[in-house]
Amino acid sequence: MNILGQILLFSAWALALLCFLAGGFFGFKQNYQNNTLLRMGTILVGIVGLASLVVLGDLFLTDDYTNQYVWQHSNAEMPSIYKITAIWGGMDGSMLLWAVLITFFSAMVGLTSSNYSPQLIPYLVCVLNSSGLFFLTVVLYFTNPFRFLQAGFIPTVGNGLNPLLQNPYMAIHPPTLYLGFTAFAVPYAFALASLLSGKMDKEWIKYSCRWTLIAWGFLTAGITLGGHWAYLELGWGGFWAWDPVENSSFLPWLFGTAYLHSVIVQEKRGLLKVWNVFLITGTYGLTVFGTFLTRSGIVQSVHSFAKTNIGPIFLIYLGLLLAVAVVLVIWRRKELQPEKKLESIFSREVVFLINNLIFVSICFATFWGVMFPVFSEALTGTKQAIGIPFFNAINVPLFLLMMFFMALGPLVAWKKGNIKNFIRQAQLPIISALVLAIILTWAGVPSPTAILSYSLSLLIIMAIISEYHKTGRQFQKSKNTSYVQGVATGWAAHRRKSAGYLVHIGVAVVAIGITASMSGKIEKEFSLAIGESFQVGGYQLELNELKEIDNSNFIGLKGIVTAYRSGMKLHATLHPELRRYKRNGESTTEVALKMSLKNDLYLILAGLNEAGDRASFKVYINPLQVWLWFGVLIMLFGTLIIITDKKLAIND
Amino acid sequence: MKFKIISLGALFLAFFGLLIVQGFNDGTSSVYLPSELMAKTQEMKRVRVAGRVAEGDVNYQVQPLFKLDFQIKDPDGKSAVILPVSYAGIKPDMFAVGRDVIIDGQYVNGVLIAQQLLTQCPSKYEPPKPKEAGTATSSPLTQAQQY
Repeated sequence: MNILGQILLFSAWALALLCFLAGGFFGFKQNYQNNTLLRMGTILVGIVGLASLVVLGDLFLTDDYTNQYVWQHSNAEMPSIYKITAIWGGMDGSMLLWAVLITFFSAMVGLTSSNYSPQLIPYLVCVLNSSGLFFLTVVLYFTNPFRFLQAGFIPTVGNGLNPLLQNPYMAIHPPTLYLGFTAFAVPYAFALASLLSGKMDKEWIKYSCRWTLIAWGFLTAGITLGGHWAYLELGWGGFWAWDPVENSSFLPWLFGTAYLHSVIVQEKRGLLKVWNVFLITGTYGLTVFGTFLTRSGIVQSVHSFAKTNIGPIFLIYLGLLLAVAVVLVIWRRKELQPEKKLESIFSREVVFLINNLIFVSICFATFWGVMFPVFSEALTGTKQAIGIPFFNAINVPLFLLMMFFMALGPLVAWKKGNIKNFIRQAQLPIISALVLAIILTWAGVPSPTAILSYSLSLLIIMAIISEYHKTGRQFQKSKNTSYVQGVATGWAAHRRKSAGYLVHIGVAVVAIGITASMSGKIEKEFSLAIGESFQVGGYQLELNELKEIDNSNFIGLKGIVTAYRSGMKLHATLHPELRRYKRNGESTTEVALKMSLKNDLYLILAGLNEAGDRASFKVYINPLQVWLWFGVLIMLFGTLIIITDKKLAIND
Repeated sequence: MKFKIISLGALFLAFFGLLIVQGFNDGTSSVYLPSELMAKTQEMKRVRVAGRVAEGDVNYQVQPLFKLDFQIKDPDGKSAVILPVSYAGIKPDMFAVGRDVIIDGQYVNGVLIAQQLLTQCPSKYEPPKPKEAGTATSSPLTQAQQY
């Protein structure tokens, strides 16, 4: 089976090379007779790639330790589901998954592109396969998971998967993230195919729109799953620490979100064409950069893979991506001229432009935060560390500014905004935001930044509701129906826009959750003997019992703590655990968590004193924490509504 | 129109520049070894120190407040300098003499007041090398059990 895997991998590589060359050749010759063949070839690359992944899965399921990678990451006792997830449990397999997903998405484009203009197809195939070819080359020559175990005999027992990875979240979080990363290769290929072929009308934007949203949706989901896992498993009460690996997934998200918006300006008004080429190249490039960052060992992080020698080839590829974009933009500079002029500073185009500027700035600051320790040591020789305050000091004001323009966006017209209309529509949202600010100040919310953030969130939501209302009224009048029906028809008639605003409502809800957790988090350390209790943030925590645990896997200590609300009403019984694994002596905390709409009660058992009669605890009270997860669900739901719109690729 | 756009951009860039300066002021700290820090005479407001917990007294008190006093030395063992550390928090479960720690805090009167104390895992997970499977001293079975 190992041999079969190698053969399939090599075949996928060779086919991708063939498609890449043939696509480029026929595109250059403007020969569109073989388009079907090119598309079939791309589909075949995907099928063969997928087959190689299936073979690796089969090697895991059959515990085939002639394969080095299987031996390193699995053993026979593991449940089948973790044998499957062990495929991406290490460097080699995760790179294979990455490469295969790119060929898979390319195949999906091959499958759905029969109606596209023939001029686009050869170059589309060429660029799609160039991405596949690069990652397959890396897999084949640097991180091949189909290597034989060179031990001189076949071991009977495998090494097993890192216990931290034997977790449902680790099963689903990496593939979701990879789906997001790799799907960005598709809109990138569309943008380049349009530049290469000279077919530079709106067609490529329409066809790539759904792909951009699929990529963005998976990336959003993947990042959130990572944060949720960290919150539940790592026991520090937070979900985001601006860690280099977290940032490496956030950078393409920021660029991708900027692109998502600015490409609308190109579609509607024919502006920002050069800018969009760089944004989508940047987005795809940053997904590649993230791979490089997490796997080359240049930055220290809790998540990173073992050091490898794939750094140089990734840097060369990144340089190539940038160079190609620059050359193409210079070559096509005449066709990339804006079709129209900006008519007014008070227009939606300008709001989009500012939004773009902010996204790119956040991305830039975050990038520097990641790379600063590397550069500063290389340039000055002294070691510098960069902490969470760096990212917060820069990104929080920028995000707040962005929220202001998010609220403004729907209320300002394209081309030239009408001040009277704007004021008529904006007054209610602005008044409600101001009222909220006054109420919150009066209620004693201490942080002005938090008050600003809550008010801006309400401003966003109210502005969108007023927009829904306005459209609904128009439909109610023209169709002569009830108000509710008018709103519903209006919503459906502008499905893409309406659902886009729904995503914005989700962002506002996320902002409320993040603001609450950043400004209102309570964090306390305390120790209790059995029967004692501790008062914190409106809760009374009473230690009832301490139990020792001793099983085959770990020894541990379990606390049984009852939490009461005011008036001694039972809130929850919590069971925090401290475990020490017998196999490697590493210890982990099992967080006890009681979620509610108001706040999360998050309790960690930190240890026992020397006499053994007092247990130490750490408690976090995270206000409005579930709002964050719920807001992301709204964002994803809105994205799904747009993706599933059948008219998406046909008209606005 | 062009003028308006450019001034808008300039305004934004100025704002962004201020934020960057603020970020570097708030968020960067120099990284020292214990011996390098002890060589400083002035107080240091924000430092990060990478050291190893030295042999000797480790005082940990739970009541009435958490307090952990210990000493660290250079991890490479080249210098005999010992830096006293004081931390007002729970002793991390993995904390022990000989473990490597990363400390963020202030350096005042020859003592490192730790705000954050991170104990590094004794071993970072890395897949074993193939040759480890067939060393003469251990059969593959015991090798796997040891891991």
